[in-house]
Amino acid sequence: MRPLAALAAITLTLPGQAQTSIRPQTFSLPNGMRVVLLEDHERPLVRARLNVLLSRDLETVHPGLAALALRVLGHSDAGAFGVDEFEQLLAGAGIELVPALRADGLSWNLLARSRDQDLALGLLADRAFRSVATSLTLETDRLASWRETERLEASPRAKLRLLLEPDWTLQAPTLDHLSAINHPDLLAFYARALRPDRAVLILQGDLGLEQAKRLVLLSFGTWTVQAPPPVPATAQATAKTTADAQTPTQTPTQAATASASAPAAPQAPRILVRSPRPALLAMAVAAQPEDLDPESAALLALLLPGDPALAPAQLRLESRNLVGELEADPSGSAASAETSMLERLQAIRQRGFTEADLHRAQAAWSESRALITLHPEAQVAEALAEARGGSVSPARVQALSVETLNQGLRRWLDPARIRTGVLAGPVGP
Amino acid sequence: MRRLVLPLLAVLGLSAQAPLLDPHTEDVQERRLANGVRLLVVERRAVTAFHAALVFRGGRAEEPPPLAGATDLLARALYGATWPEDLDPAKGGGSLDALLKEEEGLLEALRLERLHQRKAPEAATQAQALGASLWTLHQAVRARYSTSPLADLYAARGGHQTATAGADALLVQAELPAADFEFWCRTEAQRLTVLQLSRFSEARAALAAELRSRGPQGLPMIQGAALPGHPYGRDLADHLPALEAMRRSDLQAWARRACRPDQLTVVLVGGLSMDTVLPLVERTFGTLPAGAASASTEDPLLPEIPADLGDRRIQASLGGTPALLVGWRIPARPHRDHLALRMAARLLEGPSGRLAQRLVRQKAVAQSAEVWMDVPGGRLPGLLVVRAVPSEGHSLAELEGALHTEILRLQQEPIPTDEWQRALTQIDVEQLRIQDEPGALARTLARAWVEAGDWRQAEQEVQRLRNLGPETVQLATRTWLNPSHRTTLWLQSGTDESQDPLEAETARVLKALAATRIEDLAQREHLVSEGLRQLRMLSLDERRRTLKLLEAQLTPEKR
Repeated sequence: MRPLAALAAITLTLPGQAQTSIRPQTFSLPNGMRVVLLEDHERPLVRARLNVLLSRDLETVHPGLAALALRVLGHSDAGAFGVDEFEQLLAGAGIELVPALRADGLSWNLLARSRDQDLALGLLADRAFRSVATSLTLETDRLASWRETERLEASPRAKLRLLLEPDWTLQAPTLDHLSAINHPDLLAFYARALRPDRAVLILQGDLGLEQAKRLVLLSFGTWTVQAPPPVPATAQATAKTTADAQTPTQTPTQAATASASAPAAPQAPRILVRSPRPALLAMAVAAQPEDLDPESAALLALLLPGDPALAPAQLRLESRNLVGELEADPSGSAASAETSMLERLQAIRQRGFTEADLHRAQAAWSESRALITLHPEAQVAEALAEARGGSVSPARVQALSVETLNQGLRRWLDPARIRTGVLAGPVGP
Repeated sequence: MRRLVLPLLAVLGLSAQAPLLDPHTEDVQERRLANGVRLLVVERRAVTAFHAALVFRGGRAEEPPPLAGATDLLARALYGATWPEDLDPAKGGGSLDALLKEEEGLLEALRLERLHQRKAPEAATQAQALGASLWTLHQAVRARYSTSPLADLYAARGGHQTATAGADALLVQAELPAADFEFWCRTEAQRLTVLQLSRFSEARAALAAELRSRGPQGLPMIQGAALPGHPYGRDLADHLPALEAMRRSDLQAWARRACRPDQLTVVLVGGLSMDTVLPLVERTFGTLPAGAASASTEDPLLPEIPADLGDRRIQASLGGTPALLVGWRIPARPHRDHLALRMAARLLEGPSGRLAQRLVRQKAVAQSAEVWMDVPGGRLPGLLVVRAVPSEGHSLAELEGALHTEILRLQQEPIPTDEWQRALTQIDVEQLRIQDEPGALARTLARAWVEAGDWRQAEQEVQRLRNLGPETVQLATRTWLNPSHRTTLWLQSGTDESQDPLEAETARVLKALAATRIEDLAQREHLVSEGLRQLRMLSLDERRRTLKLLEAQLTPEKR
């Protein structure tokens, strides 16, 4: 997850179209799949990202379902190849094919020599829509998913961060959630999620437009929208339970914690994670509002992390979340550390930014566009954002008013959106 | 049909493409400034920004024990951000440096007062008054900081900077638009001249808190057991008291030595030519005072550990998932066998590597298996480490047996041609990727200079790797991946170390013994940590007997 988070940070801090001569070329397949080509013959390499948007339909609201589905897919036969044969073909040509689950959906990232582009795109298509997900590996993958959650939980800091994750696709599943997922759930998920009309393919590197059209048609042309199977009863039941358990600001774990530890619902739901060693750390996570315009989001992402009013707390951007951390004296109180973290965020929210701050951020953003030429992966990410309608417009950045910026700030740091928690030592308040 | 078509396409592709690109030595231009700074420039015309790497050779391995953690602190306090007040400390009324000196005095007085309090809790204390003075001083210091968001000078120009402390080097990487190159040169030269470290106390506190909350971990544990007494085997968490006693002036003095020009290579990759950058670099980095002749020419003397130290074993319970770590002492990067071992690691690692295929998929004794070369560094003899997590229902012993079988297979059975070819192909793709990503190229060149002594090795090693034969790899694995070079760590699930009664009791007795003989608290805690680490290598029975022997040295009332 860390490399992905780092890449996401780069992408978010380098928004907007790059100052590069590479002009995106777009086309679509009859099945609805959209393709963006960034042609660059500097080196004999091809990168691709196939992204599929995930629906927020209730049928798919199982924390852990998307991650488990991706894991099962990775261990499935694909097209005409058994899983071992598939892996050997990838390795034999040095092709990297890495699945990823992020707030923007399911993705497969591909890197191959341009001489292997036919093979690489064929294998990507096999994996994305010709995988044969049997129930054979489900139990092993379920166990591996649970072990991964346990491994993350072994680090108290990572555990706290997981508990505060607002995005349902990235939330850590409970054992109950994982146990409830069965093979029909997975098949239903694949049918609903893996559809060409939800997919965008970004190609970057050493291939021309005609070649790209031919290759994409050959590899993805037969991908069709499947009629989704009826939603299994277990999925509906689990989804309902999950939805019932969650208030707009609570994860299932938070809900469980709140109900178990406090008779009355607290104003700010607190999650307390114990560390075996002396520690006191308050953490706050604020998810970017869905409807925040990308220009305000880009400038706030530049202004907020370095704001001196936060000191000694630290604020960073992780994907679409602002994550604040405040280290306090381990002998202090968890409640005061949490309050102190929140107060800092609210002080910034109430203070807002000035015209001068806005101008500095606009200038920094404009200059940062040059940096994307250093990062081929970021060029791919930016092309994807543009295809999804989430790219930052230079003209709108320059036209942004301080009122709009501060309105965005107030919504992003709205106390109702912020989840907080505390990491504390083995004993204490 | 598809089963035939895809491999066929692959084969056709092989013959249709141009030869593979390599890191071109001619792409890299090198200059040496009069004060010793090396400059490497790789021009990328299509790029409108630049990636700059400042690499200071030395790193954690060259820190003397009282300055353990100095490289990490430099990464945080010197390079963590680019504050305007650190570059122009005289701006405004009064001197920031004077305030920081005062802060240093107060912090040291407070530390000593707290130590005194631990020894004599009933005695009158000045800690509260000192704390209040410190708080007032911090307000005065903070009043001199910029209050503007985007105060970081690079962030305000659309760029960013990161710094990483490593065993062999301090690596600082920055990215900025090409138009800001002169600004970057002036800023970096000024940073090294002033060495302000205004956020030193915050950085030190944050690092100490991180180490304290992190607790013992597998990798530092195996490093400590495999490389005892060597800086490569040092765990910073064992040096917390020394870290907390380190003063800003100590770190400044260390930085003057560790960051001197002859220890520095500047690597630039991006839309800049040597003709453009050289005059600016000479005017800025070129004016940094060269270090003393004796200091600049001599590498510090570091202890040498025989590779065949003997088979060592440790068992620990850190909680969490059980894991097996096996480390073999291997030679430094310049050694002739190093490349062969790197190839061996490649055959073992990755989703198509032997460990994933045999241990994870075929035998299903492991959930995952990872391979790391040059742990913690490659400039000096280090470790090749395999970390594997057992599958449900399989023991660590079973996994260890399966791992050793794979190592034996690698040493004895002929390596199939297709597997060899696959590894070479992966190296080719990796080289292409490095060429395509300026940051990766800068790091590769910097690392080759630090570890192998010459950046050209980044390319020459790739050529030599291609010319290696499987027999060479097998010979090297037989020489180095054998039991006498091996250290094995069993990380068992279950209770935390602090709850292991034998370990807790041993720690208590060691602390009591150390208190009778060593005055300095920092030295005392270090000795106890080191002692505990050594004792973990003994069997349970031996640990119990050692504890009895230690207890016998205590006075009856302390037993």
